[in-house]
Amino acid sequence: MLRRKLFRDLWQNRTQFLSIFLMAFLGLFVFAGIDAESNGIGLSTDAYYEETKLADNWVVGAGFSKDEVKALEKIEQIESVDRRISAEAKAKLGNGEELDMELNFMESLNSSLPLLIEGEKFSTDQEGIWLEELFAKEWGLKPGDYITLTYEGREFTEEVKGIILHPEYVFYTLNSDSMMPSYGKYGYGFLSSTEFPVQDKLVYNQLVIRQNKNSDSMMEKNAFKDMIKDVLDRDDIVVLDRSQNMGLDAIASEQAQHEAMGIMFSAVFLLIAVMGIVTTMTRMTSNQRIQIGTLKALGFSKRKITWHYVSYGMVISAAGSILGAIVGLLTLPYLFLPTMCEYYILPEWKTGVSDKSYYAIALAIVVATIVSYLACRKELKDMPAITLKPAAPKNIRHSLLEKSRLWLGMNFSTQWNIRDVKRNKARSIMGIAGVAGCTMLLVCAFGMKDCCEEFVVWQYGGLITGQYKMMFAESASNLEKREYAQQLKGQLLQEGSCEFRNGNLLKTGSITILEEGNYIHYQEENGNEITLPQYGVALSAKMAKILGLQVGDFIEWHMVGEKNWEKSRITAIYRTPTGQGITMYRQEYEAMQYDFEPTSLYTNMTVPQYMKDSDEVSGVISIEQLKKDLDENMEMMNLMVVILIIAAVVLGIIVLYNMGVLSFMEKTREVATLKVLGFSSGRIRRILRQQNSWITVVGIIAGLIIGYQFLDIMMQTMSEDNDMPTVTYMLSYAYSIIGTWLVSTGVNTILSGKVKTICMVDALKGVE
Amino acid sequence: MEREAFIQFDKVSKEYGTGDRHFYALKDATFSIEQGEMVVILGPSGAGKSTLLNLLGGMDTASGGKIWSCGEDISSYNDAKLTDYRARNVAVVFQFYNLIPTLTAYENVALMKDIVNDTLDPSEALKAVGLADHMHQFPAQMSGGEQQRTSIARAIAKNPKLLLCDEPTGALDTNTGRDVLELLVRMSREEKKTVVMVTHNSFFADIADKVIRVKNGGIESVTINEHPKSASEVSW
Repeated sequence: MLRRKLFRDLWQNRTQFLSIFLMAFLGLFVFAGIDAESNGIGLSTDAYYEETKLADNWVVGAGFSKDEVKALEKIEQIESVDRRISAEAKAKLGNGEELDMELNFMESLNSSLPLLIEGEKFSTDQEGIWLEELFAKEWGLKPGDYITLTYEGREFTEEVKGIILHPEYVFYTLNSDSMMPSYGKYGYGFLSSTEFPVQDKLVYNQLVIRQNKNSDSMMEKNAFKDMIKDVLDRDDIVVLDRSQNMGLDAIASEQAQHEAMGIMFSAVFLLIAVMGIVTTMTRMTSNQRIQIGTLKALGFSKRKITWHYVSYGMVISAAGSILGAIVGLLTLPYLFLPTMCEYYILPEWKTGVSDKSYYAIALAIVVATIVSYLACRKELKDMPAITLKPAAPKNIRHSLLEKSRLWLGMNFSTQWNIRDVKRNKARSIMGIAGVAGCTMLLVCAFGMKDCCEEFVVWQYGGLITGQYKMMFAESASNLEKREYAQQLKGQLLQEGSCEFRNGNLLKTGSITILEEGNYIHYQEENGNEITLPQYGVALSAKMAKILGLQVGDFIEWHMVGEKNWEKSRITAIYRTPTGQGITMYRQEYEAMQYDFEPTSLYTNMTVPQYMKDSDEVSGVISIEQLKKDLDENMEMMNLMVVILIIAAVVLGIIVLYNMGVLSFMEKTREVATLKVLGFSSGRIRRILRQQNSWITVVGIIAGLIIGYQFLDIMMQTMSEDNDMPTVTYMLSYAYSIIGTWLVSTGVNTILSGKVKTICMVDALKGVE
Repeated sequence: MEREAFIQFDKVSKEYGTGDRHFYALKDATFSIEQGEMVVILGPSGAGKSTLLNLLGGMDTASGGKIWSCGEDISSYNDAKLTDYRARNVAVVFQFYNLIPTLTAYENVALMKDIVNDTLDPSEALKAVGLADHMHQFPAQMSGGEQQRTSIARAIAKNPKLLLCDEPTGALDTNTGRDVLELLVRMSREEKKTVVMVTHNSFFADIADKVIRVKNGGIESVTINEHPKSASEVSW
C-alpha cells in the first residue's frame, strides 16, 4: 500500500518531481550520449588499429641500414621492423592541377597495414600505387587507372592497384599551419620501395616498429624508446610513439575532450537535480510530518518509513537517469557522427557506452537516495508522540541588517523579500544555482565560438601579419630561396621538429628559426608585443609550463635529423596558440654551427602564378583563404553551441519554474493574507517579482564567473600542442545575460499570473 | 508491585525540559486496567491525558516509573522494540483521523497488511463500520464521520489487543460522534477488546467500565462504573 502512496504522492507533486526527473534525465542523457560517442571512438579506433596491426613506434632519421633493422628485430619486445621512405610528392591530374601527395615507399610490410577498400591487396612485390579513398573518390580514380606523380622534379606514372585507408592517417592536414583537414584536396599513397623514382638515392628515412604484445617484459613507453636509441646507437634520430603521431593524437585528444565535456556538463545537471531533491524532499517530508507520525504510531518501523521516503528520490533518479542514458546513447552519438566523419577517417564508426555510464547511473541513484535520506531523517528522529504534532515554528532571529538603521529605510516589499529569502535558504540557493547554470552554459556556448574566432584573429592578425606563406620544395637551393625573398620582400624562416629536454622530462615540439622581418610577431603572456632577443632562444609559454622552465634557465634541444643535443639559455617566453617549442634568430642558430635552411617565407605581395608553378615552390597558402576555410569548418563548434544553448534554456526553465511553484505554494497563505488586507494582485506580483530579480541577478553574476572558469578548463583540455586563448567577448556576455534574463522573466511572468488564481477563502481555511 | 493487571502504571512520570525550565506533564501516575475493560481517561486540556495515552501506546517514553502493557514491560523498551510492540498490540484512533490522504478508504485499511500478518479483510472491516459503499473514496471525498469510521476500521483490521482513542469524537457533530462512540463500545463489549479513550467530555464517563480522572499531571481518581450506559443514552 505504501507503494501506492508513493506513486500517488509523486503524481500529486509532479511539477517538482518532473523537474528532478528531467535534470537526472538530462545529466545522464549528456553523459551517456557523449560517453557512447567518445567511447565509441575508442572502440572504433581500437578495432581499426588492431585489424591493421598499427605500429607502436616510428624512428625518424636521415637513413637506416639493413643491419640496423636486423639489430632491432633481435629485441624480444619487438615483433616487426619495416623500412619506409616517406616522401612529399605531387600528383598531376588530367585537368592540369597539381595536388600534394604523401608517398610511402615500403621495403616490407608487417605492421600498419593498409585497409583495402577496393582492388588488389597491397604487396611490396607489386608495381603500382595504392591510393587513399577520399582522394581517389574526389578525383574519380579507380583501380586500373593511371596517375602521374612528380617527386623532386622527376615525373613517373603508376597504375592504381587499390583504394585504401591507412591507420596512421585517421586525421591529417597538409601542413602544421592548418588545423582543419580538407580531404580530397591532397592525399597519400603506398607503394613498394622498388617503385621509388630515384633508386640510386634509396634512403629509408623511417623505421616502423610494432611491439610484441605477447612479450612478458612489456616496457614503459620512454624506457622502450631509450632502448631503441641505445640499440641503434645514434644521436640523429627521433623515436616517436603513437601519442606523437599527429593523426592518432588528434583523434585521441578529441575523444578525451568530448569525455571531459560530457563529465563537466552532466555534473552541472546532476548537481541541480540533487538540489532539487533536497528542496523537494525536505518540503514533502515536512508537509507529511503528521502522516509520518501516524505511520509510526500505527507500528511501521523506522526502516520501512525511511525506505518509503528514500524511494521517492531513488525512483525518480533511477527513472530519469536510466531513461536519459538510453535516449542519450541512442541519439547524441548520431548528432556528432556526421561532423566527426568529416574530420576523421575511420572505416567504421561504432557507438557504445563504457562502464563509466553504468557507474554514472549508479552514482546518480546513490546520491539521490542519500540526499532523500538526509532530507527525511529530520522527521524520523523523534518519538511518534512528537511527530504527530505540527512542528514548532522556526526560531527566527533578527539579523544585523534588521537591527540596523538601513532596515527602517526599506519599503515593505524589500523587507518581506529579505526575510523570505532568509527563511528559505535552500530554495533560494537552488534558484541561484539554476540561473547560474543557465548563464554558465550560455557563456560556454558563446565563449567557445569566441575562443575559436579569437584564435584566428590572434594567429593571423596579431602574430602573423603576412598575407601569403610560400613553402619551398626540398630541392630548392638556399640561393633560390633568397631570390624569392628579395623579389617578394618576404621574411624567411625555417621550421622543423625538435625534441626538448629538461632533466628527465622529454617532449617533442617545433623549432622556428627566423630571419629579420616584419611578418612574424611575438607576444608576452599578458598579450604585449615583444621583440625577441637576438641571442639565446625564446620558449613558448605552454612548453615552458610543461617542462617547468622559465627565463634564465637552460633548455636542451635536439633537432630531428641532427646529431647533437644543444643547450641554450632561455631569454624570452612567448605565447602562441599552435606549434609549441622554441624560436631563435638565424644568427644564434648559425653561431651553433648549423646552416640556416629556410623552409618557407611570409610576404604581403601577391605571389605570381609562375612562382606557384615552379619546382622550387611546393605550395602557397593564402592566409585569407585559410581563415575562410577555418570559418567554414566550424560546424562541430556550431553544433556544440546549439546543444549548449538548448541545454541552458531547458535548465533555466525547469529550475526556475520548479522554484517558482515551490515558493508560490509555500506562500499561498501569506499572499492570500496580503490580498485580504487589500493589496492588489499587481502589487503582490511586483513583490514576488522583486525576489526573483534578486535571485536572477545573483545567479547571472555567479554564472558569468563560473562560466568563464569552465570555458578555461575546457580550452585547457585541448591537445598539448595548442595553447588556445580563453576569451569571451563583451557581446557574448551580453547575450548570456539577456538570454538568462529572458528565460527568468518569461518563467516569472507565467508564475506571477497565478496570483490572480488564489482564492482568499480557500487559502485561509484551516490546515488539517 | 505484583504484575497481575493487563495494564499497570507504576509511578510513571514524564518530564519535559531541563534545569529551571522543566515541568512534569505526568507525575507518579499509578493505576491499572483489566483486559476487556472500556476505560475513559478524563481531564481538562493540559492535564496530561494525551501524555498518558502516548506512553500507553508506546508512542513516547517515560522519564520514570514502570509501565506494563499486554504482559510486557514497555518502559524498558528502546525505539525498535516499541515499534514492534505498537505493531503487535496497539491500534490508535486519532481526533483528526490521520488517514493517508493519497490512499482510498480501502487502501488505508489494507495498509495494515504491511505491518501485521493476520489482519482482518479490509472490506469486512469497512463493512463492520458501515462503509461498504465508500470503500474506494479518498479521505477528502468523505465526511468527518466517515473518515473517523475508516480510521476505526483501520484499527479493527489490525485485530489489536489494545485500542487507544484520542478524543475520537472531538472533530465530529453530536450525532456522528454518537455513532462513532457506539462503534467503540461495541468493540469493547462484543469483541472483548481493551479500549482506552481520552476525552475532556465528562458525559463520556457514563459509558465506561472505569474512569480515570487526570488533573495537573497526576491521577485525581479512579472510579469503577457498576452499570455503564450505552452510547445512545449519552448526550452532550
